Amino acid sequence: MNPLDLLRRFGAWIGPPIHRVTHFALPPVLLYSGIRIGGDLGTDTRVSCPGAYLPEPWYMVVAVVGLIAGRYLSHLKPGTSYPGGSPPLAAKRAGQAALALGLFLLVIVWFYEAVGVAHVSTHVSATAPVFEPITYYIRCAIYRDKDATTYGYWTISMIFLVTFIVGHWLWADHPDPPAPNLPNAPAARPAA
Amino acid sequence: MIDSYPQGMAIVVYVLFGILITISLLEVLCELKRWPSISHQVESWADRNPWYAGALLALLFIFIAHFVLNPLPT
Repeated sequence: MNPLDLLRRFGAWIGPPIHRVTHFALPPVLLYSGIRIGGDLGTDTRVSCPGAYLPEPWYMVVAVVGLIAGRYLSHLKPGTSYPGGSPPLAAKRAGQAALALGLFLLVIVWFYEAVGVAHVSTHVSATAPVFEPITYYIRCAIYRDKDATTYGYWTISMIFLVTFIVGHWLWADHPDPPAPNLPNAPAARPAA
Repeated sequence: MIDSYPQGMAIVVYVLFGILITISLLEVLCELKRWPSISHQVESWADRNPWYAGALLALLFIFIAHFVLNPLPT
């Protein structure tokens, strides 16, 4: 058998259960990780941004690897994952709700960024907290991560995760539908 | 002046993970209802609009480069 066919047959067999398990496992894993990381960063009373750990060019290599891995994840899906026609209205509404929520959050983020970049609070009171741009918070978190783990494993994981998802969503390489004799292959259309 | 880095970093993490958790919960909903997943819908959109998708990818990489290729000002 052709090795590529074998690989596709394996992907068509193992892909759907992995896809399903990943969907159900992600929310609790993300919830735990978010609470753990946010809690650690928010309550640690050590020096906020130790050392000077940036720039770090090879993080860009991680981003490119994540993007390419996400692009070719599509090969684990059988051809039936790309049905023709329009999805149900409720599914469209769910997608639109996700988009609206994401854009609403971005509005809040950019409003805060404007305040942070302007350093508004420094002109108000000497005892008020200094609001920094979000970029600085992200770089400071990377400093803390590298200070604690040398290579910055959490940073690498987040860069990989985000570029992997984006590569899968926006740059997916859709493989040809599997041959009719593969598992999950669509039934042959009857002749007209 | 009070250093806001610990609180600021925590909020950034909570917002980022909040977005990811919301999307993952919607994916679970799609899985349970047997709807096309959010991923599938976004992929379809990207297939139809490759230039927009490419622009979003470029924007993301510009942000990542901005974050990791510059130090914090001293």
